[in-house]
Amino acid sequence: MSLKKELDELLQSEVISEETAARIRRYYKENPGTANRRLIVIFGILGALLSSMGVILIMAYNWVDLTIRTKTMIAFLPLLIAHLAGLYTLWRRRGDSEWQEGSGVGIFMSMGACLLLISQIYHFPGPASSLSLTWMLLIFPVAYILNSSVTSLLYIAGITWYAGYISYFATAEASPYLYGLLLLLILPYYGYLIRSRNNDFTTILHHWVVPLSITIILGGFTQDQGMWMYIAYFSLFALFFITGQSSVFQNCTKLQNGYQMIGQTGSAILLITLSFKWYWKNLPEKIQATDHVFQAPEFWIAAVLTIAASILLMVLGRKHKAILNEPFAYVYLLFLLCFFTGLYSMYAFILVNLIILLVGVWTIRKGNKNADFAELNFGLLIFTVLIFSRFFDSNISFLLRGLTFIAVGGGFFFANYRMYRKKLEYEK
Amino acid sequence: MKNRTILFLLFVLMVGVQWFVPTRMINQKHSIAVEGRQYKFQMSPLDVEDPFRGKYLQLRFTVDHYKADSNYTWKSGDVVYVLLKKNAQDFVRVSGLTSSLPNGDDDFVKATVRHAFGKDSLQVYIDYPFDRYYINDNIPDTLEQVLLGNLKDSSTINYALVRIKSGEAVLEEVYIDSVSISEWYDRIKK
Repeated sequence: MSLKKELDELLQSEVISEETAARIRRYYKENPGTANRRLIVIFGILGALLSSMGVILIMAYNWVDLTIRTKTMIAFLPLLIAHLAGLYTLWRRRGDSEWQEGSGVGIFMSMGACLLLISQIYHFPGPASSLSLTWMLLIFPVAYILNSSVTSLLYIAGITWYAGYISYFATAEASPYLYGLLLLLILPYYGYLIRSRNNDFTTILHHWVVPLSITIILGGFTQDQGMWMYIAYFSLFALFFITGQSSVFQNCTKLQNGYQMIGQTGSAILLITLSFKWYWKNLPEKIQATDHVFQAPEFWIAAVLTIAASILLMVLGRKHKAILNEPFAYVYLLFLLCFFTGLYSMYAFILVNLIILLVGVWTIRKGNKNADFAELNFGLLIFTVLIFSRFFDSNISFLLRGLTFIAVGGGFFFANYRMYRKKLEYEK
Repeated sequence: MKNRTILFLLFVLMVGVQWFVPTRMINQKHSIAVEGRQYKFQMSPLDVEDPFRGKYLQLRFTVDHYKADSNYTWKSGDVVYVLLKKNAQDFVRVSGLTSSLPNGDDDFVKATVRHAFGKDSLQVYIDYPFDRYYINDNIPDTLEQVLLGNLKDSSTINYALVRIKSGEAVLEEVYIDSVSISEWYDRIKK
C-alpha cells in the first residue's frame, strides 16, 4: 500500500491528526526513499567491480599481436579512467556515497589489473600474492581520501589473502608479522567509520570482516609450539566478545555485532574441540620436550592476548556490570586453569567438559531470564553438541544413544515452548 | 575549502605514487631487457601432463641444482647468487653458489634456494626468478600439442633466453625445438 493511501486511512479512522499527517508527508518529501538511495550505492559498487573484472579478463587474454609497448599502455588505461572518476568525485560529488564508493572500488580494481598485466607482459616469476603486497600498500589511501568504506573492506580482504598465503601456503618459512602493520594502516579509518557512520551497512560489515580476518591470520603465527595457540585463540575470542559488549555496539542487533558473535561461537567451537582426549594426551610430553618456552613467539602472543583480554574485562566490567554475567567473557580464564592442570594430568579434558556444561547451563538460564530465543537455543546447542561428541569416544549402546537423542529433541521443544508461553503471558 | 584543497593535494600525491611504482617496475625490467647479457638456460624434459597452468607455461631447467660444499648451510627460501658459465653449446652451467653479492664483473643471477639435501655433498636446488612464461589464453589446440610433444621429448633442444644485468634477470623468449614460441604461433597460423 502506498504511503498516501495509508495516511488517508489512518486519518479517516482518526488514528493520527491532520497536522501529524502533514508532518509525515513533509518528512518523506525532504528525505526521498533511503532504500532507493542504498540501491543506487550498491549498483554503483557492483558496476565498478564487474566492469573492472571484465577489463582484467579481456586483458588477461594476452594479445600476441600487440607490441609490449601497446600492451603496457593498455594496462594503464583503466587506472587513468578510475583516477579521473576519483578526481571528479572530489571536485563535484563529495558526499555522494555512490560516487565515492564507485570510484574507490574502480581505483582498487584497476590498480590490481595494472600490476597483474605488467607481471604478465614481463613474465614476472612467482604467484600473484607477491604483487598483492605492493597492490595493498598502493591502495589503502583511497579509503581515506575518497572516504570509500568498500575500498577499506576490499583492502582488509586483500591483506588477509596476502598474509594467509605467505603464512599457510608459501614454501619458504614466513611469518605474517607484516599483517599487523598492514591492519594498523586501516584502523584509523575504521575508527572514523564507527564515530561518524556507525549504522551504515558497510560499517556493520567491518564489525564482521575485521575480527574474521584476525581470526584467520592468528594461526599463521604458529611455528613449533602450537599448543600455546589454543590459549591465544581463547583469549582472542574473549577479547572479541568483551569488545562486542562495549558501548560502541550497544545499538547493534546480535547479527550486526560481529565481535560478540565470533567471540561466542569461536569459544564454543574451541571448547568442544578440546573436550576430546587427543589434545590432552600428549600435552605434558610436548611441554617437556620443548625448551626455550620464553623464546617461542606463540607463548608471547598467547600472553599478550590474555593480558589484553583481562585488562579490557576489568575496564569494561567497571562500567557495564552486565558483562560480569556473561560466561563467554571468562571462558579463557577457565581454560588457562585447564591448561595448567593438563601439564600434570591428561584428565584435564574432564575439566573442559565441566566448563562446557557450566557455560551451556549458564547460557540457557540467561536466555530464559531475558526471554531471548537465540540465546536459549545457543545454550541448548552447546549442550547437545557436548552430548553428541561424547558419543564418539565412548561405547554406549545404540539403544541408549537413541533414547538420549529423543530426550535432547524433547528438551529443545520443551524449553522453547515454555519460553513461548512465558512470552505470551507477559504480553497479555 | 581548505579541507578540500588538502584532499585534492593528497589525491594528486596518491595518483603520482600509483603511477610511479608500476612505471618503475617496468623501467627496471626494461633496462635489463635492453642492456642485460643474453644467457640460454636449457630446459629439462617435462614429466608433468599439464604444463599450461592457466595462462602460463611452467619452466623447469636442467641447471636447477648444484653440489655445494658443506661449509655453508643453505635453507629453503634463502637468497642465493648463482655463478654462471657457458658450455661448448653456449648453454648456461652453474659454476658456484655464494650467499654474498659477487663481484660486478662476474656472471651471476640472484635466485632463491628451493631446498637442500645431504650432509657431505650438499645438493642445493635453485628456483630461478624466471620460471613462468605467460602465454595466450586461447592457445590453439594444435600449437599446444606441438609444444607439449616437444617439451616431453628429451631429444629436442628447448631453452629459455634470459637477459641478466647485475644479477637481475628478465625472461626474453622461450625456444621450443630451437624455434621461439612467437614464431611457432606464426607457423600454426599459416
